Amino acid sequence: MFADEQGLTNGPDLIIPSKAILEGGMPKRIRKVPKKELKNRTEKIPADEIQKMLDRMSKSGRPKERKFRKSETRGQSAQKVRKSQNGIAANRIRKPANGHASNGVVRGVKPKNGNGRVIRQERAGGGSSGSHHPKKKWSSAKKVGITLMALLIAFITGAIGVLASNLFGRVQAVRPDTDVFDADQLYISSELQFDETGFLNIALFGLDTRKDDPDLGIRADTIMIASLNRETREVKLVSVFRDTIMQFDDGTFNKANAAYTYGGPQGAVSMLNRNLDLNIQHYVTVEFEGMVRVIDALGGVPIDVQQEEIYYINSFASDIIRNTGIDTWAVTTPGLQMLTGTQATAYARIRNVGNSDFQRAERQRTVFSEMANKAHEADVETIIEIVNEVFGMIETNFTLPEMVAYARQVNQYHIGETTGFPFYLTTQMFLDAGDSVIPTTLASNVTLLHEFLFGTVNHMPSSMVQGISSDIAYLSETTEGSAIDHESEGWQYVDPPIYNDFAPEDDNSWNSDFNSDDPWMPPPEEDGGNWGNDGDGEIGGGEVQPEHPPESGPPMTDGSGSDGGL
Amino acid sequence: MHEFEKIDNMTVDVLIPTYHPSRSLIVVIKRLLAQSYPVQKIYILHTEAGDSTEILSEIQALAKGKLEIYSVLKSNFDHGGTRHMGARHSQGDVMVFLTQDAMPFDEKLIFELLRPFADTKVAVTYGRQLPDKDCKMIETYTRKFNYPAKSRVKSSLDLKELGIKTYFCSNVCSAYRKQDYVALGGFERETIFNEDMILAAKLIRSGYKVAYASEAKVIHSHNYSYRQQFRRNFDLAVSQAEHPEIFADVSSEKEGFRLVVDTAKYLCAVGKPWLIVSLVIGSGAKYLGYCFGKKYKRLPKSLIKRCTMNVGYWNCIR
Repeated sequence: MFADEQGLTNGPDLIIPSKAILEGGMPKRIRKVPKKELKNRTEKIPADEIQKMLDRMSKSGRPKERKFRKSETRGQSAQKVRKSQNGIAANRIRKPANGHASNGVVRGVKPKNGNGRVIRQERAGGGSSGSHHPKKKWSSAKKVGITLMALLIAFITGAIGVLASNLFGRVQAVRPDTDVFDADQLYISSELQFDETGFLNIALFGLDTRKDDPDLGIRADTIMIASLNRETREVKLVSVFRDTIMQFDDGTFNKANAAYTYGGPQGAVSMLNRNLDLNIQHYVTVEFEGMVRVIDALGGVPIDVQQEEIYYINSFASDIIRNTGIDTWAVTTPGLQMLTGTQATAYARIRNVGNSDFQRAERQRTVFSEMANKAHEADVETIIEIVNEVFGMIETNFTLPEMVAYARQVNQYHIGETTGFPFYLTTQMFLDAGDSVIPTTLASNVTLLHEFLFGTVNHMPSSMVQGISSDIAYLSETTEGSAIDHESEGWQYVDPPIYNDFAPEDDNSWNSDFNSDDPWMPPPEEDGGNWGNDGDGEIGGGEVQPEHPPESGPPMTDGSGSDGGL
Repeated sequence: MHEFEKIDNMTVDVLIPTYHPSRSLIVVIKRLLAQSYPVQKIYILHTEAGDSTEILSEIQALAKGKLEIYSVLKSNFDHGGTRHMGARHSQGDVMVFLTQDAMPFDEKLIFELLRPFADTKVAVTYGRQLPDKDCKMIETYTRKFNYPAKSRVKSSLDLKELGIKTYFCSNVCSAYRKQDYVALGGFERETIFNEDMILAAKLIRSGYKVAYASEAKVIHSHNYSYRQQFRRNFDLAVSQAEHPEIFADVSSEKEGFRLVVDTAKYLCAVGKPWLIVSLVIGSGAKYLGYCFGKKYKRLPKSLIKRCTMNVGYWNCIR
């Protein structure tokens, strides 16, 4: 085996005599089933259907979990997937192996005469075609040589043809290509001790897709892990700071929020499993709209709004309105108040008040916890109604019956502790990733995470995590001692004009009417924000509107403006 | 002499996986220790099989503390994983990978391997492999074809011109800048073959460059039997099939065809056209192995194990 070592690489030195042989012997692949767009799955399920599902569920006790066992081979899981997709199994066509088919044709085509003898077919050319050529004198050695060569080539070509047709003729196994995860691809460490099976771990992703600017792509700017303890019925929440450096499936390092961009939910979940020694097999992804609708369906969430946050709530709210069309009113006063879906979602996006992303992750957990509290109080019927309504707006690998089943238990669960990951960290420019959060070290943070989530004392990180940990430490030149105290950096207020994450497309036309002498007015290139904030938190959409000529202002001003203060 | 100055003061470690080492390993170590550019440490990644203590203790005595030996169980060996394990131990700025039978041609090997690193975008360099005395005619030409006398720095801009050769890189003799190596996650673990090309492809796709240093020379060649050629190309195709993201859009077949035609021309030119027969059979074996490997997912495991050179890989992974 080791002798192979020697010649290791040999990319280019292979031979392909003819592409035609290849193509001739190979039937076309069975086309993969196009990925089913989850977003299209909006059709509601009638109430009696749900009741039936629930009845079935209560008979079987616990909701059936759709998991793949690791022991399953890829082929098996592929089949399972195929079956689980509506109607696709039925459409499968078995292609006969090429060789057999062609044999059959040859036999059938040969015409027979009445006696059952095969008629010898005359060649088109009549006599021997070679007779027309002038005869050359070949030496006998040459003749032998050429015959040998011809035989060899014929033999090799024939062998390739036969083998290729046998090989390629088989039915191609379709690989799973759905929202259902392939457990083999989730990087669940084999070193994990499954004493954490009493927990259901779910990855929650909040996507930052903009209808008004699709070029920004999909980014999972909110990453949370919810861990449901089935025994104590406690739910623990961990936000993973989106700028945390983690290793992706391909071995490269990048910010956690980029995993979703490159690998979708499966890539993001496997990143969490790989870097945090977790065993997550389920995910729920929401965009702004889903979030807003869920909160609205719950009747809003109570949030203690700080003075400094008001500007941003309204600013983000206008952005959300532009993207979702769900209107709301402006927040005008600080203090504990019921926020609408749009407002609460906007609140969860604030990152320029307080301690940037760390504070933002905390706000997200606050909103989520309040949602859970609301759900806790609501009666089962309402919850099921909500689940049914928003199911089409979220992306998940839970089935609707599963979701409904969990929703029925929602009032048995309560939100316990919440925290942010990493616990110990530092910030720096990391390779090409930009300003990043570096866990110091990843391994020790993973140990703490397992203690937090599962009460595991002294979790020994897997060799995978230890490897990643030492690689991050090497690349960032950090050690456990490099941790900064991000918790107590304190409450800071960043002036609104600096913020420019969501500048409207026609940025300049917006600001053309701004009076540049106005001391608080932002310089045009720095802020596309249109909200006037006169310092006491009074934001009136109605006041703002006259400053923007209708032809230059995006519709959102009109939306929020007309409702402002109502 | 500026030629032998340290390049950016980079420290260099050499890593050599070994398995049943022959006495030529001692010469390899001697030549490494005599390099003009000093080697900081030599790591022997030894796969345990049989008794090699004599040779190992001999080279250890030779290197006087500059050499460390790490043992790997035979069942745990894999091309990428074992080298990666060595990379974890290495403290150098640059890691040079050699195979036990890659004989440094002269004392400038390390220096020449390092020279392209003056360009900070170069993440990996690989050296030229010269045919050994006993190397057969066809294999000699293959070396010539794959390792020309002209150096070249390759980046993603060359993909159009060079095709799959852009990713070409060989761990028989290669040097990696450790920071770039770690940043891309290092060699693929649990890989059957080609860990060097897979990493080179990743580096190129991430904007780095791969340098072929023709002045960095090792003597290294093999006379494979047809059966071995079949198996090698089977494994190679498996590794390509397992990394469609890298190999799907670059064809090895065109390049392979060019090699056959060029070799045939060469054989005629040197007046040995009868070797074309051997070339055709050998190429047929390679291509057959390649076809099988590409479709390995449809082969029964028992057949795969008869086609591969790496039975251990299939036992461990699947």
